[in-house]
Amino acid sequence: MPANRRALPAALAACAAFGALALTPAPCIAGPGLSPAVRRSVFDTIWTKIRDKYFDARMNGVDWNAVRLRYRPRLAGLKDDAAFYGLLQQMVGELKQSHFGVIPPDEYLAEDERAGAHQAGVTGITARMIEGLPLVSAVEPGSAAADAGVKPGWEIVEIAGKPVKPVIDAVMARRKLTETGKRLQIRMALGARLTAPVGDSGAITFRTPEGEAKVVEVERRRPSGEPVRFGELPAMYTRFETRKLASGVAYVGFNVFMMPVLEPFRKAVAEAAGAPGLIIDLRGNPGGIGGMAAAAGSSLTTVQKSLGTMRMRAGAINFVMFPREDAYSGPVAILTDELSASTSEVMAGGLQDLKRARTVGGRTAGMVLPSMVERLPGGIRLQYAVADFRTPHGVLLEGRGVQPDIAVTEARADLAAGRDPVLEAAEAALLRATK
Amino acid sequence: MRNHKLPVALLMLAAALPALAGPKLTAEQVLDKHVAATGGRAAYERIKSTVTKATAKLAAQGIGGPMEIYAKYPNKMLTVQTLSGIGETRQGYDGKVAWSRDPLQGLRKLSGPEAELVARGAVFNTQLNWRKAFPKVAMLPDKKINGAACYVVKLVPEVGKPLLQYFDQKTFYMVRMDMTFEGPQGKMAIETTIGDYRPVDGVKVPFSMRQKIGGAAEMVVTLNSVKNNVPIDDALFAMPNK
Repeated sequence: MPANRRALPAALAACAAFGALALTPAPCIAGPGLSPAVRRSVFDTIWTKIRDKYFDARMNGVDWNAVRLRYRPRLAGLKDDAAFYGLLQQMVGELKQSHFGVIPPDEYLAEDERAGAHQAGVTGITARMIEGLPLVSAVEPGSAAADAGVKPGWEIVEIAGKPVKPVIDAVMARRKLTETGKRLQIRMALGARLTAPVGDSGAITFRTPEGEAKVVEVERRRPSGEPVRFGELPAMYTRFETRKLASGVAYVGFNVFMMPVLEPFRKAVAEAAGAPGLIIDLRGNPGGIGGMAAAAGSSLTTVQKSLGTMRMRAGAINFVMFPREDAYSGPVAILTDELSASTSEVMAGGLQDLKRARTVGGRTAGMVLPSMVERLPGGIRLQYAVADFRTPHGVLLEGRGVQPDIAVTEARADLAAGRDPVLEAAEAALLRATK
Repeated sequence: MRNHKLPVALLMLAAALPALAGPKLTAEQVLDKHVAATGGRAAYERIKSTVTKATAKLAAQGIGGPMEIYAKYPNKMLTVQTLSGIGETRQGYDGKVAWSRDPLQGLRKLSGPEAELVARGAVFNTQLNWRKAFPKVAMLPDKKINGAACYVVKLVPEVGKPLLQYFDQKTFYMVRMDMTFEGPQGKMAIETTIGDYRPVDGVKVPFSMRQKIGGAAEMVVTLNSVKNNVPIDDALFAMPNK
C-alpha cells in the first residue's frame, strides 16, 4: 500500500481546514495556577512553533531569537496565570500580525469538568462606534436585550456600573491604529464587557437619542443559533438568515463560516435565481473555515476562478471556486463592516477583485491570515498564522482590509428610526445595475 | 611513536573508504531490494485487492476522523475520509476517470496533473509496478533520516513533479517520501515519514505515517486494519452521479 495513495485527500482537506477566524479576546478567569515548569514548557513550545511554522521565515522582520531572550527571563517574576497569558500575548504580538493569539483555558470551560460553572452569556446587543459614540447598532430579535426593551440608537454609558468612556478613550489614544482598527477594538472591547456568565443580570446604563438616561437589567443568555465545534476553536453558534426584500432582491446573512451554514447558503442562493440582485451580509462575521469562502463563492460563478492565494512555507494554495450548476448569475452585493474579518475578507476581497460583487458598508478588519489553533499543555490554545492571503490581482489584505465600493456612513438617526442604511444602499445599487 | 601515528591513521582511513562508500546501487536495485525486504515479489503478487481502515488526525488542531482505502488490481482506488467539522471526502479512480467529492467543492472530475497524481496513486502494488507510474528513476545523494543512512530514489512521472523515496540502507524499508501536490488549487509540498512496518499476509506494511503538509499542518495517519483479497465491486470506484 503506497503512502501516496493516502496523501491527497487528507492533505487537501487539511488545507481547507485552516481556520481564518479573528478571535475575540476574552477576560481571563482565575483558575488553578500553572507550575513554573509548565509555564516554561508552554513558553518554549509557543516560541518554537512560531519559529518553525509561521509562513514568513523572516519573521516579519522581527528578531525572534532576541524576543525569546527578552521575554523568557520574565517568566520567573509572574504573579499568576493571568500575568502569564498576558506575557505570552505580548510576545506573539511582537510579530504585529493578526491571527496570533493565546487563548486561556477558561474559554473552553463549557466542555471541561467545570461545565456549567461558566458559560459565556450574551445580551443580543451589537455595540459599535457611530458618530463618535458607542451605540447600540442592532438588537437581536428574541434576545434578552430585546425582551428588556433596549433599542438601536441608544448610547451605552455604563456596563455593570463601570463607565465605558475610559475604554473608548484608551483605544482612541492609540495613534498607530487606523480608524477601522479603532472601531474594531472598541467593538471587541464592548462586546467582551457585555459578555458575562449565563444567568447573570447586569445593569446597563444607556442614553436615548432624546438624552434620557435609562438603566436596564439585561440577563445574559446562551447565544442563539446552532452550537458548533471545530477543532480547538472555542464553541461557536451559527446563525443564518435569508429573506426576500420588497424589491425582490434576495438577502442572505450568516455570522460565521462554519459548515452548518454552507448548505442553507447554497439553497438560498439557488432559490434567488431570477431575483434582480443578491445581498450577502458579512457584517460582524469574523470568519471561520478558510475553504468555505471558495465553497460559498462556487454558488456565484459560472466559470472556474480563484478568490486568491494563500502562501505557506512550502507551497501555495488557491481558493478555487468550482462553478455549480445552480450558481446565481445576477448582480451581487456584499455588506461589510469593521468586524468582517478573515474568511469574510477572503470572500469579499476576492469577489470584489474579480468584479463579481460590489462591497457596501465599511472597510473590513484587515485580518486575513489562514491560521491553526493548537492545544498546548495546561489547556492553553495557541493560534498562529501559517499563510498569507492575496487577491487574484496580488493585493495583500492583511493590515489593509477590503475598501468598500460603496462606503456608507451610518447615522444614529437611521438606527433610531429602525433603518439599515447599508442594506438600503446595497439594494439601490443592485436595482440600478439591473435596469 | 609520534612519527608512526599519522601513516597508521591514513592507512586505516584508506582501508575504511571502500566500506564507507559501499557498493553502488542503481535506483532499480534499491527498489527491488525494498520489495525483497518487505516480503518479496511472490507475496506481493498474491495480493489482488486491499481494504485498509485507518484514522487520520490533525492532532494538534483536534481535527480528525476515520479513513478507508479500497484498492484493486491493476489500478482502481477509492479513499473515503471523514474530518470532524468538515465532513466526508471521497477520491477515486476507476482505471479511466479520476474524481473527487468533498463537502466544500462538491463532485469534480479531475484533470491535468491532479488527475495524473490520483491515477499514479491507484497503481496497485506500486512497489512492484513502479514502472507503470514512473518511466524514469534515478539515484540522488544519500541522506540521513532520523540518524539512519538512506538511499534516495527519485521517481519521475511523465506528467507532474518527481517523487522522492528514502530507503533505510540497513533494512531497505521506505522511511520517508516527498511529493508535491499539483492541481487547480496550486502546488504544495507533502513530506511523509513512514514507519511501524507490520506483516500482513507475508508483506510488511507501514502502519504509521506522519505527513507534513505545506510546511505547516501535520497529519498523522494510523492504520487500524489491512485486509487483502477482499472482493470489491468495480462499481465502487466509478465516479458517482452527484
